[in-house]
Amino acid sequence: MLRKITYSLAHPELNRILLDATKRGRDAREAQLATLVDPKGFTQSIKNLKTDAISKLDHLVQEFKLNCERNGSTVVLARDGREAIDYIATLAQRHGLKVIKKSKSLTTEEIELNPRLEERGLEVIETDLGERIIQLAGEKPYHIVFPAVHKSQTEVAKLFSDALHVEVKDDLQAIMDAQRHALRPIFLGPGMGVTGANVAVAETGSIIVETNEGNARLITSIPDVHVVVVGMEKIVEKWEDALRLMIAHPMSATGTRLTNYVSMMSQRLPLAGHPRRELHVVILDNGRSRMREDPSFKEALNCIRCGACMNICPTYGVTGGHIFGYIYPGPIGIPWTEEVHGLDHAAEFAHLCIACGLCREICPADIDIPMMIAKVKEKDVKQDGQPIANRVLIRYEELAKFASATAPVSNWLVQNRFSRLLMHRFLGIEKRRKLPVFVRNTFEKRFLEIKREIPNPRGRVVYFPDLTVNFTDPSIGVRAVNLLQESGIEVILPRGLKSSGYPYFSYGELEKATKIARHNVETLKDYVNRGFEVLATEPTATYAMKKVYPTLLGHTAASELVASHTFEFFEYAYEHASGAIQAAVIGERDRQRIGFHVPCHQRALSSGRHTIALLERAGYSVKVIETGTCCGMAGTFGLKKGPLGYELSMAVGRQLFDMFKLEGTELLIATESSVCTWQLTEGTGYRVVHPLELLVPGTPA
Amino acid sequence: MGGKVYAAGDADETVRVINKIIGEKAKGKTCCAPILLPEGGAERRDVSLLIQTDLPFQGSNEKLLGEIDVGVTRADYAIAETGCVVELAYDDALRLVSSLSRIHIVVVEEATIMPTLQDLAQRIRELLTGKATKPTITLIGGPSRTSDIELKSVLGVHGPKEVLAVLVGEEGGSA
Repeated sequence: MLRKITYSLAHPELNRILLDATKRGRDAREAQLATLVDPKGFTQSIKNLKTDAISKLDHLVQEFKLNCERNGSTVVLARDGREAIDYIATLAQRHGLKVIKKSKSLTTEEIELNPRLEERGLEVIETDLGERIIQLAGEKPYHIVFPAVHKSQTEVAKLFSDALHVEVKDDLQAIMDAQRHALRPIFLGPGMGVTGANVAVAETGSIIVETNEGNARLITSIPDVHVVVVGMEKIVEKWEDALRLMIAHPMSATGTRLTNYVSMMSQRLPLAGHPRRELHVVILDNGRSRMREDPSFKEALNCIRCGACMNICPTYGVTGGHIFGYIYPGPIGIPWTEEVHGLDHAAEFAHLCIACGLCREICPADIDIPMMIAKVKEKDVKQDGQPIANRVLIRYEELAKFASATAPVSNWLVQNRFSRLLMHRFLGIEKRRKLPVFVRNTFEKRFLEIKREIPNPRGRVVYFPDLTVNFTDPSIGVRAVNLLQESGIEVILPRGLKSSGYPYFSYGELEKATKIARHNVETLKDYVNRGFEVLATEPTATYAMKKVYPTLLGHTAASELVASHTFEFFEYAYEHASGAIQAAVIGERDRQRIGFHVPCHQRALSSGRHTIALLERAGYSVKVIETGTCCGMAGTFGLKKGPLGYELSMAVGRQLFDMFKLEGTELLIATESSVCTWQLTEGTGYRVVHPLELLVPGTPA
Repeated sequence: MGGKVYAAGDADETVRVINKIIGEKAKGKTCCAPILLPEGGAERRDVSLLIQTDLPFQGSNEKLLGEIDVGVTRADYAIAETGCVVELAYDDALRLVSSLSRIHIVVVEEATIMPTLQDLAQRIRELLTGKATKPTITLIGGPSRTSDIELKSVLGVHGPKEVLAVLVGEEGGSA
């Protein structure tokens, strides 16, 4: 694994196509989604219909089966891959068919149907171009929508030349013609057709297959025997649901409005009047019933297999599906692999997840993928223990307290080359990474000096400083408090609040994360009940309280109450203090050009729109600069040494660094996240500031 | 649809438009599935017999249709929202005419256009409920295509490289 990552990081050209592909996928999806009247409502409708179908799946499976049988098809319920494979192999043998013609199906990849059928002497031919390339190369799909996206045209031409024993030119049209020419006789010749299904409809016993190439149309029409392998979770109740999914699939997968060919089949048709043809439907369980019973993983069954989470995942984007995947790749691949292929296979790539949370934001079914990944990490950590670097970084709060209390000695240690070498060797903290400087005069101490009594306050807030404000950058907290107080808002800092605990979540220590969540919610709840709002200047802290705590705590009333009264600092300032904010003078220049970076966790909140509005109102020219994914730092992930930390982190950020550099050296970068600040400073060499350094209290309104 | 659209005012003009396309583009055999078009009042007539073809539709199986170059079919509906046509097949030979051909000409009546895909739900339910024979319903959005190599889009992988729609209705007649 480490070797593969090192190799892939050393060969950025291998990733260029993947990075382009994933970015194109994200951009096209966003553009297509924007054409809908109500994009949020659409996502909600997908989530609802899937949740509804999964909740009554037992009933839907029976209804679907019954209707298929009424239509004259044969239906088999396969408990696992072996039962499905046995059925298909026996069926082919009974009909004396030696060739299996397939269209793309992830479900058959899941059970490794092809090699098992080949072991029994059957010839299996993938007819989708991407799958055919993968099959000829003897590999697994790299991406679920674009299985061969890592292969260049030149490589494909060579693969085809070798396989077809004819010279195929390194030209796209030539490759297409070769594929068409080679597969026509196979389509027209004898053999059994095997397809998956994108959707199955219970009310009429129908199956739906979507393809752009049209290969599935030929496979489901010419062979006298057609077998469909359908994962149980694909069954929906009615046609309204199925038609919604038909739009959701291509929209999220490729940003197109509809897949080119959507075949909806309910029974076997005659061919040129010849009637005795068969349709066999294999409904695959393979762990799905168990998943349904498990509250932690049930939601994974809502996956519509669009691949959007692969297109936004920052570490998948530079590692690809052969590293970041087993058979199911990408973020949703982690829970699916754990459930159908086992923890060991999932643990191989689960720790590549950096808990940026973007997969949930892009998911068309709003699946809480980050939470399921955290559970997989938790299972693995319980079994195999935490790597040393994680053990150090996860206790960041204690470390920070210690470093702050012992500053400047601790700072000398973290800046000293010899001690950094020791930390690199023994603690797994990358020696090349600049570490923050800790202060003795923490925010908690500074707050006592600046706190003012506000008579008749216009608002009352609890300020949640989180770690970096408290121990490394108290000036941000001071600015925040001053700004609020100048606007007539009372600010308090409750005793005993812990930092957000997000590192425990990212590294899969959910019991500790839950304990901290409970503690903070219990502490904050009393203040909220007394009319206080909770504000944080660190997006991760706001994200943790609003999006993670409620789930960790099982959506208790207190956690939901605190979540609904927690705001980003600027969201609140925009509403309550905006009249009293003006531009700070930065060096010689005010009215400076600002390149704004939206941290991942802020994408799940406001995407910085209040901050940008305030900066613009103060006279700054602001441009959001983004690739649509993470800067690569991801909390403390980028502090870890080597390929599975620092190097991967810099590789993820490279595209974004270049975009900032294109803007010219006079650009000032602003972002609200402390760790993004470290990463962008190091990656671009530019000055990176918190927006609070650009805004100061003006004349009180 | 990613294909060209021709307009025709009535059944006769439809035949002329299709024969003209075939005359200009065909490089091999042509096959035409039944095309029932309105003929004043409730009457409909199959104009496929007036199309220049080399392969009969009736009785042609995959062996014969393997040689098809131009396929002509009628779509039962079209969906404005997604820009696709809806093909109802009661015999797989129809699906082969529209999927084995290099050029697919599809006849669509203006009156059958539905605004959104959701509008199709109830119609599908009627077609598939309480009937002994149930059609295979296919949405066709344009020529066969792939982006599997370096995400570059190419047409005509296995199915048609060109899809040409002939829109029949009162608006037509300018082709």
